[in-house]
Amino acid sequence: MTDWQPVIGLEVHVQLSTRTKLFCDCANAFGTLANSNTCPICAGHPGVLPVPNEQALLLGVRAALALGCDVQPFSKFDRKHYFYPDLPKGYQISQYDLPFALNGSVDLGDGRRIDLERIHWEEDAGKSTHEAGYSLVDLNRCGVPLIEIVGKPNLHSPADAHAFLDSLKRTLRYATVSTCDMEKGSLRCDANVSLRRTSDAPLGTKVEIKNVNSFKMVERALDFELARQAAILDSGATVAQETRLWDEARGETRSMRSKEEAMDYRYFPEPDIPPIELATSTIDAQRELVAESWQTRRHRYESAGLTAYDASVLTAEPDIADYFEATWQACDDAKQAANWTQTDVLRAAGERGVGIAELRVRPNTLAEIIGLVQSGLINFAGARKVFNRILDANDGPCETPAEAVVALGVAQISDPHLLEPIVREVMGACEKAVADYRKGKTKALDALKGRIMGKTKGRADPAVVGEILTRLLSP
Amino acid sequence: MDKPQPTEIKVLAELARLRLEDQTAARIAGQLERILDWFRSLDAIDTAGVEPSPYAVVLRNVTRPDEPATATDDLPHGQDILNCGPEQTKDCYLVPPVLGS
Repeated sequence: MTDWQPVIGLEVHVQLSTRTKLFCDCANAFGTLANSNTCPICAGHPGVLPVPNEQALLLGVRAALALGCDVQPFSKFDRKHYFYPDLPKGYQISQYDLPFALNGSVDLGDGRRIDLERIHWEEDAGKSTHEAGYSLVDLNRCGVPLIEIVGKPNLHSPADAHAFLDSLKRTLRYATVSTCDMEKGSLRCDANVSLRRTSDAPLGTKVEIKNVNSFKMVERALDFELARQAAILDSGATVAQETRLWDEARGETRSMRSKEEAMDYRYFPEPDIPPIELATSTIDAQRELVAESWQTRRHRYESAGLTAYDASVLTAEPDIADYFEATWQACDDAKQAANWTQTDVLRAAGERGVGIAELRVRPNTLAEIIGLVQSGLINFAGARKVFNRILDANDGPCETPAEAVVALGVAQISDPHLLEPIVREVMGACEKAVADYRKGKTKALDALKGRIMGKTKGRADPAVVGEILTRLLSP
Repeated sequence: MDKPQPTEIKVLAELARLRLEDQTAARIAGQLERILDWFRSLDAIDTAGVEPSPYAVVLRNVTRPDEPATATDDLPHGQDILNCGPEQTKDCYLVPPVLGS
């Protein structure tokens, strides 16, 4: 395997987040009753007239701009012919020789960029389910707007292919053009795979792998296929040019069709849809809507003192980044805002199965809680109780964090005159820990602090307790 | 230009999912040749300086807003469409097996 260089190119289909389908006003919805979102247009009945959805075209343009593509002022739709039960018209409306976007690249996040070939608009096909002896067809997905993003074969490992998809997904989610949810099929991927002896050798025979439908599957399918091709080449045989289907249950790719059976799609211009001209002003308006990229945000977070790891977690999703930034802005403490967002906030959203933007503790509220800790009114343990109380409050006007502090009785005790008697009492009760500490076992201090916290129900100011303890314990 | 061969006719028929007997293929080859000849009369037109265009009309950007169908639409939807299929089960069109047997 080490003798061969893998060459991988990905073609990614992304469903656009519109309300309706690409050429008709049926809902673009997932998970509804089979064959409930259909009309004569998307079901391919004769004599109907497809009319492009303006928003779908614009979301495609926005995606292309987010990926740095050259958006083309003139493009057209074409018919791509093939027969399959989930394509009722017998052709798919796609774009052939004049796609709406060329070039562009995907930034892997480590300084490397993978160039793109093109992006084009097209309609999705229906969904087939294969049962013993027959197949079932659901046409709900027919006509859902897609963009197909064609990457150049410049990836050289399954891990890089994963990084490519991860980056692409972040970029498209930041541009709010798609949910990119592989589980729900809103992002799907085909891979072209070949091996060559050295990095300057001509490309080997490529195999196309279809049906790779999760991020985990991508790496597994590529690992399998690369090993299969290496074994063939090592034995002195040649790899057949073909299309193979990834079978997740068996963990293998299997032949779907050979080169001889390759499709002749007989593309020709779609006569029912006049060409699309994109004015510079239209393109510029979409450029305005492309949010700051995740790469730029990540960089900015690192410049504010966050670790590369924190910056990566916080930019995984635009809602997480937005929540963090709003909190940071309101409390002016990037580190605290990052810690809270990554731990309690993400956990709360996960446990409740809701988006971070729907949590009852809004960034402003969280910033107030952080402020109460900064000002010494509560300690971290108290802050967490306040956070959870507001999180689980009923609907209606919310308590402020300050009110929650009172209601919970978690105001921190910072007055040394109040704390010293408690410290002395605990020292008297824990003679062994005191002796251990004086013998040099500094860890014994933690046990004492723990007892003091327990006695004050977590309200003692840890810093003041530390000072008193060190003073009283010094010889 | 070469005259269409019966083998090419067979390939075209296969792509269009038509089953043709050899005799029919030979007859169609002759007809197709006459059709192509008729189109070749376009070759006589001087197109120097004319930009190629895939369309005969000057229409551009015919689009619609992203608004869902309303209850007042008179187009058939959903179940009406499904009922057009010859066989159905589990709210789906029932078709012959697609993957092998």
